[in-house]
Amino acid sequence: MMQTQATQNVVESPQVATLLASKSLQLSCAFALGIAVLFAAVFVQTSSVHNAAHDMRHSQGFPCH
Amino acid sequence: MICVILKDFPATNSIGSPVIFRRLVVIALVGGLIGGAAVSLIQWWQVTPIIVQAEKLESLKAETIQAVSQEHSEGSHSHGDGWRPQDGLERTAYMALSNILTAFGFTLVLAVSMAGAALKFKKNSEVNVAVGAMWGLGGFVTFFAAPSVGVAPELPGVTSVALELRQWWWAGAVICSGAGLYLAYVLKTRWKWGLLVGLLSAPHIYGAPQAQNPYQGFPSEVAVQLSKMSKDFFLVTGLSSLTLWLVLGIFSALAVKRYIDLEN
Repeated sequence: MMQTQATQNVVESPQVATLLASKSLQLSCAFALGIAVLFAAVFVQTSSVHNAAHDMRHSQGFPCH
Repeated sequence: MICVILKDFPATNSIGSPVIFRRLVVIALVGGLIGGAAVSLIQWWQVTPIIVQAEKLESLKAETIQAVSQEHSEGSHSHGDGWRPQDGLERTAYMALSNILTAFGFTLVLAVSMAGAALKFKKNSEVNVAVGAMWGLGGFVTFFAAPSVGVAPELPGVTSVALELRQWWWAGAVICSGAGLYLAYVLKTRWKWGLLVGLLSAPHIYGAPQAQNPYQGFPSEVAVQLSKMSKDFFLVTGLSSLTLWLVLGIFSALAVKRYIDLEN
């Protein structure tokens, strides 16, 4: 109970609130997520990932083999 | 559809809530579905038949190589030993799924770049359909046209240099071209045009890894056929990529304008 209260206090503290609301940080996180997804779809060569994404990689012009 | 998904979000960016991040992810999900569905349809219609035909011809290469020599294995077409989707519906479904995933990533990068330009470089008034189409063209040049000049879209079975070399060059070309176009759009200095030309040409001056004979191991008449198919393949992959990027560019501009608070 006390721990929950403490966590809530941290989340609602002005510093954390400002950080979460920072537009630059949110844009950076969204950009990083996009790059991570693209990396998995385009570059990962694990056999099953490669085979699943094979036709898409050829069709989009990504290096595949 | 996007209105329904976003209606539960607060209308304003309340303090302490990562509203912009969540909205960008939702925009990318919807963009991924729309763009992924559109490009999958074109690929299923125009691109996949060429891939399937190339895979049939690839078996001739395997036989020739087995009969003549085992030495030219670098860059040969291997699907690995693990699971792979069955031909037919399953294979098409995985192509569509990976297209949706890729379009999700593209939309996220595109929407963030648009919002970043609006917020940090005062391009707020320029988020509209026409400029969205221009962003789409920028994405097409960055992720398809510029890298394709060095590493053209390859048919299955066509020999090339080591994959890692091509992937590194491809990623370098994408980063240089994207950075050049973005900086040319947001900067106000005159020397930005020099920067654009420099960044666009740098990967090509460095030089893309090229195979000496991409049709090595094929009988000559099959090599001629594959050479012609490669040109058709370049054209149809280019058209499908252009369609995808125009859809994503216009959609992202409309969605960013409507759902992202672009005022500082």
